[in-house]
Amino acid sequence: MKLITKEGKLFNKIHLFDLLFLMLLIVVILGAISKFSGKNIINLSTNSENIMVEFTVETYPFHEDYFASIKVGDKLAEDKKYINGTVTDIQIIDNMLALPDSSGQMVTGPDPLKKKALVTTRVEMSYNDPVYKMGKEEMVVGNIFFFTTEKVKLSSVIVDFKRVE
Amino acid sequence: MKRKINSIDILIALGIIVVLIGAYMYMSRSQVDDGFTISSDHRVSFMVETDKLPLGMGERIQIGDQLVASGRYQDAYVTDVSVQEFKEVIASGGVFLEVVNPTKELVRVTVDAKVNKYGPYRDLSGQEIKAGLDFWFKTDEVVTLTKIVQMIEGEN
Repeated sequence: MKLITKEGKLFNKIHLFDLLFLMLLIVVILGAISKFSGKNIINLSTNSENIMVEFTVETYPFHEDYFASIKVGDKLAEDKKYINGTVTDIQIIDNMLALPDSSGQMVTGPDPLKKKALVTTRVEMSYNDPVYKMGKEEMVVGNIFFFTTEKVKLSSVIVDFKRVE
Repeated sequence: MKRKINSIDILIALGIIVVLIGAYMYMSRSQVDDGFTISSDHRVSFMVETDKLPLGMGERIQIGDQLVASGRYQDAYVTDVSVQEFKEVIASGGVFLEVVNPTKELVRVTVDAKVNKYGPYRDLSGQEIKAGLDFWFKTDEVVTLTKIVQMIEGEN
């Protein structure tokens, strides 16, 4: 049997142009489904489930004024998109320092100039065993994370992470 | 009339498909969520700070100064300037002390600007505006690398 017949049929079953048209149709339909079903959740993986997670980040040390733009209820963002998650708690904590004094003794205590923030967020993210992902970021304790909302983008570290119902 | 298909026709058809898919992906790229809005008429007020200017250079920044970027004036104006002592922490006698570093000064500037807004993303002439990010502050008198301290409430 010829691959393509003189009439242009593939395996004498379907016309090549019909096949191409069907493929094009499928691509457009899949594109439309992915566009309209995802709403504002960034989730590009296919074999994953969406689960609710609560995680906490500890920001790098900043002057306390830097945290004034974070509010409970703020929506998380990544690049030019919102992520389906909101800030649920903010705590300003001491930035602990350890510096030697002139006698060589190490002095430890809270930094009088800079603070850190512990920001807790509840967010729906994708889980593809064993990887949790939020947008492009892999979410695991210890990861460096840019905590981003409409108003802030602060360097931080993920310090707590748990699934919630 | 039956038409014989040649390989050129197939290549052209494949090319058209690739172009269509590419066009679809490009056009859907910036419209991912329902809350997505594009605006070039959005005003924000934000504060930046720097300790990188040579001593005394902070005085070159005045209220009313207009920001410059990409070789032209921007719709962005200085609304407040403060020059403060630059403080550092030292350990002495078993405790931390705040001391003034006389070789530096901390300059804080508030800017009111018209920005481009794409959903949660805002930029002023290509520079993203968010607390915690670096920002090149430039007027016709001075340029310096600053850090955005906070977004001031009351944007529209």
